[in-house]
Amino acid sequence: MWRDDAPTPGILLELERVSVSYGGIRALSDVSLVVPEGCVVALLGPNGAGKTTTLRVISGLARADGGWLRFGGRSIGRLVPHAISRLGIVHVPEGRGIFPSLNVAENLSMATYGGGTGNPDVVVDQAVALFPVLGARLGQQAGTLSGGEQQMLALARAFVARPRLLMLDEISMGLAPLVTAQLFDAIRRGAAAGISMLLVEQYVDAALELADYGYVLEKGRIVDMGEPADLRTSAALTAAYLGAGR
Amino acid sequence: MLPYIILGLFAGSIYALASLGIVLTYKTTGVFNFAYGGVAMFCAYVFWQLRDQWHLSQWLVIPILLVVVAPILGLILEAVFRPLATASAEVQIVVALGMLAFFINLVPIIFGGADHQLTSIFSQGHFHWGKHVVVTWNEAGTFLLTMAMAAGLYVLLRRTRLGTATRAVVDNRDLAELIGVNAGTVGQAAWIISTGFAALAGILLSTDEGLVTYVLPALVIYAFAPAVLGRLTSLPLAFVGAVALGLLQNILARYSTTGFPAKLEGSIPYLALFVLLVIYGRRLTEVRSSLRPLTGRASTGSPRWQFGGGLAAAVAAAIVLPQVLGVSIQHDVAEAMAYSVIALTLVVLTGWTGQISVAQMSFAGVGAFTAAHLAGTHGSLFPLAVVLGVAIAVPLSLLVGLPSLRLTGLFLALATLAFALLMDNLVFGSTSISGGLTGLNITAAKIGPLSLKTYTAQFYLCLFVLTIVGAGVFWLKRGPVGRRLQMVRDAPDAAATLGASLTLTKLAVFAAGAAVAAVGGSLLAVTQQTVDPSNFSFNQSLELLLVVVVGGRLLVAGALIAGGLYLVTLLPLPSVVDKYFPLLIAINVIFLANEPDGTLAVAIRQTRFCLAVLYRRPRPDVLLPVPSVLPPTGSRELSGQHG
Amino acid sequence: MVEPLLAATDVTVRFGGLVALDHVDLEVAPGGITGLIGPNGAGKTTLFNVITGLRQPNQGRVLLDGSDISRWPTQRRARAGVARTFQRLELFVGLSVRDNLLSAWEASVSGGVFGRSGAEGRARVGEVLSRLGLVSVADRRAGELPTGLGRMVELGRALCTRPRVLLLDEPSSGLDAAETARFRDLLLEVVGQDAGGPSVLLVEHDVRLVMEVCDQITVLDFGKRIASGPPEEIRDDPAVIAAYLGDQGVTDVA
Ligand SMILES: Nc1ncnc2c1ncn2[C@@H]1O[C@H](COP(=O)(O)OP(=O)(O)O)[C@@H](O)[C@H]1O
Ligand SMILES: Nc1ncnc2c1ncn2[C@@H]1O[C@H](COP(=O)(O)OP(=O)(O)O)[C@@H](O)[C@H]1O
Ligand SMILES: [Mg+2]
Ligand SMILES: [Mg+2]
Repeated sequence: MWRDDAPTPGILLELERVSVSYGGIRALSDVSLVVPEGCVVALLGPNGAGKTTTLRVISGLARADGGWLRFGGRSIGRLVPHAISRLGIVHVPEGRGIFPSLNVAENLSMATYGGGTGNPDVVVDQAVALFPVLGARLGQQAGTLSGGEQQMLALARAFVARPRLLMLDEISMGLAPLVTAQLFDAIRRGAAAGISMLLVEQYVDAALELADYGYVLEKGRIVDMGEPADLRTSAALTAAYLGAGR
Repeated sequence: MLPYIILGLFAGSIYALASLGIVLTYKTTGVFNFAYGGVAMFCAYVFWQLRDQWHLSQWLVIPILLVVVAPILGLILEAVFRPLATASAEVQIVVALGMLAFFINLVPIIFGGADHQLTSIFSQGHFHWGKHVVVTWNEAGTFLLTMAMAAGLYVLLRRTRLGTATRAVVDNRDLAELIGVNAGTVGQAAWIISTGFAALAGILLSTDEGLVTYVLPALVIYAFAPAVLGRLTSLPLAFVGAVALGLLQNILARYSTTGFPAKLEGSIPYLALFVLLVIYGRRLTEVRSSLRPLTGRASTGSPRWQFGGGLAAAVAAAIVLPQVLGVSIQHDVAEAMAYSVIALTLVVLTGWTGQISVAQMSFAGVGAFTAAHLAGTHGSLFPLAVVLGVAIAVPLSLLVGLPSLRLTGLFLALATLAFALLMDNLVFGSTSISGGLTGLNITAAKIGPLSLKTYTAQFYLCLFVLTIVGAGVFWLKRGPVGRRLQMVRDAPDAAATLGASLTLTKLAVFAAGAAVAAVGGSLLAVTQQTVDPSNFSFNQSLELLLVVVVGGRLLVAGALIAGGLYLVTLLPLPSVVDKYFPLLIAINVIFLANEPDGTLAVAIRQTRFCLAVLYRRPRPDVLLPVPSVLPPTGSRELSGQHG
Repeated sequence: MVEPLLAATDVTVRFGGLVALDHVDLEVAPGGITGLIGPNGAGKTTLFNVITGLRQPNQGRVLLDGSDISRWPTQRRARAGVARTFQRLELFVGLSVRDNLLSAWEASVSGGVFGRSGAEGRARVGEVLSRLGLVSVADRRAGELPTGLGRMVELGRALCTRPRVLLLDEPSSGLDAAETARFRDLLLEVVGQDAGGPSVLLVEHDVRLVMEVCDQITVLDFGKRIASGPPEEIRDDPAVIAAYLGDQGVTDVA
């Protein structure tokens, strides 16, 4: 808190020794990581490692019981989720990040609720430009979309909200390869346009291909980190996933 | 038939207003507003005060109500319930019931207790529809107004930014917050709108039924059944259900206006509520699952010491009190002890197994009226009457409990509420059972040769029973039975997967509670000497719950404190005390529902804490909170790796 | 193949539109440890709930020792020997550790709630307390314990009922490396205990632990069973590697 006045140049998001518990059960211990401005950072690790929890604590859905979080030079450890969202962090959560009983256009217009700015119609047009499939379904209840379309909707809404930091949690989970490729394509274009991202992905290779840097979590701790090229050959990564190499 | 249908549409549309308001706050904030009837009544009295007393134009008064009074009330309610968002269902329910009592007791203080007639807000008179049908402007206006309000709510939810945000919060609260929707603001809006609906419902109901303190909240409870029909989440179903309920009631009224069918008419909403709860059963799930159950913090000390201490106190009381107390006070103390016996059943039921019952006085009433009927004329039959009371109360509790104990938290509380109101209407409301408004007399009860005529005899009897029941409950708590109750309360799923039957456990507690309450009721009958149905009504059950919460619902001592609080209302104290006492209880409940050890335990804890601070004996766990955000320790090697 | 002690056949569970379990089969052989793994949300806990009767499946049956227990209430299954622990601790927080275990024992025998055969129960509780190293905390309130000990209390509670099959839901989540190692040894000891020990169905994210202790592993992904077999086979199963590492992972890891 007392370093609010000394932002690190070029660093958008910083976590330092963050710990989180669920009802007394430790899910994250002393996690430190940074997302530099304009970079894509991948967060890898086996199931239950704490990736989702990391994103949840950043966006305020989970409370850190120790540690320190800073976004764009501001301490965000005590802010509520909607306040954090208004700083420009857009979090597409695990599972389906949509409102099933709202129609597609309403889902997209939710992107304008954060800052209170932005015109819903413009936002819808932008989203349709990004994923033309959505254009034909604007009046349809989002809950009746296919899984892939739902994720496209979630991703489209995230992009048109003009995030300073985009956090995606296993957006390709359970989708057919073709749809996954489409989503990744959109993510790639977003990255090229300079959106900073924190990416949680089960497809290690695809994630590392997109990322500028990666962290490996295991049992709530960071066990490895590095450039994609180094991580690909990292023993810690393979061991964390399949228990090999021990 | 047509006139009845018109009457039905009229009544149903008022219920619909209330149902919509109740469902709206429940689905957006997870709070079931038991106080809805209280709020409606309060607003109706404000309306009466402004229009009929201060003679303001009603076209000024209604906007004032909707734009000033309702929003303020709504925001107050929101502020009370927001901190409880993560509290257990039990706490939310208790606070909401406290709120209900608060409004019921506040209104007579502010507006005087008298009943009034309220003229319709629509013009007097009527018009003819077809040849034979007469429709009053009041009926037509009410119906149209309600339709307009419902349509307005529909447009608001479907066509506005706030509406989209509200539906988003209902769909997925976390995601809505992630997108920047302030779910708190959405909740405030829901409370404001809901309170506005309550205000209108209150005014419209009062023009029909008169402005009567105790009638209005009960009428609003009619709206609970339609709300449950929509599983508390569907606005359209709630609306349709409410109109259907109004129709059903009035069509039934066509066939009979006297006797049992007429009573049934007033009971249909409660019956419908109970039946719907039972039919839905486990399919009813609460929109926001509650967190961990409460645990008390009172230092219990050595149980053996407590047990001994309690017995010693009882003996001392037996010897000393009759010497020092005047006879009439002795009698009041006896009555309070009978009340404590009933309160003990709530300690076990609500405190130890986490089930909220607002029907304990109904079971007590069974005992009381059985005693009055049997022993009223033949005093020596009193022991038999007690046994018979228990023998009636237990099957009755099984009848209620078997279908409804599968329900949890809120829905179980609603089921007991429906049961209590049904008992009020159908059983205690029937002259042959209750002896009408004057009640029944029981003045010559005897146990064998021992006459219970004298106050001293009554005192000893009540003390004896209270000691036995209190000691028994205390003893059970220490053993396997206590462990079983704690299991079921702390972690019901785990208890079941270890082999404990939840249904049997809850049913046993419920039935035992009914039995003991019936015994307590027959004691009350003996001490009160006149058994009056209003002493065993839903309102009394509510009051009992509140004083037990204040006394401490986890502690045997809590039931004794509850008896003490009841004693306050019996003693000849200045009338200000009588006036404000129930209100204070309600306020106390609203603020301390989170403290299962009760007010006294909290006060002791606070005093100890203050003393500790004064004498500078810092308690580390209090004075050193763990900071949620620690200063960094400056390891920076990570950031260096990026260009 | 040996007759399975516990079997779930063709289990389907839906939550509204979401299919949490999709025609899943699972067998637990007598006397060993069976692993159940899969990503978060795969349906593992839901399957536990179906087996213990806390949730009625939309379709499918549960067999214990060949007899159909699908319609039995939870407590009857418990008394027939199905015990479990919970992913999020479900301790009796208001009771001491000893009373947590004692109440479990009382729940598992008929008449226990009336204090029948109390001495026998206390003996069993004492035995379990010392086996799990809980003696020193026996009189502390369960609600005050750290996670590691809390998990032990849940395990002890289940053991007090003398289960025939023991379902463990993420028992090492929240434990550190040393605690996990201790837990593994304990698990092997409990199961290895001659004829009396229970068979175990283990849900666990720690793949290392799973590979070490399990005889058989079933893998769920999105409510579907995608593989089942001994650890070596699972480790090399392309579908499993794909679920965990992504398609491209196959070439890199293998
Ligand atoms: N709501 C919850 N309650 C209890 N434990 C949880 C909850 N969510 C996650 N956990 C536990 O926290 C740990 C980290 O989970 P999570 O962050 O979801 O991992 P990941 O996203 O890497 O798969 C796991 O052990 C998981 O079981
Ligand atoms: N009570 C419930 N209501 C709705 N969905 C649920 C419920 N319980 C679990 N689910 C959903 O079912 C899926 C499987 O959950 P779960 O069995 O807890 O997975 P696992 O234990 O493998 O992590 C998840 O998508 C979860 O969100
Ligand atoms: Mg995750
Ligand atoms: Mg699980």
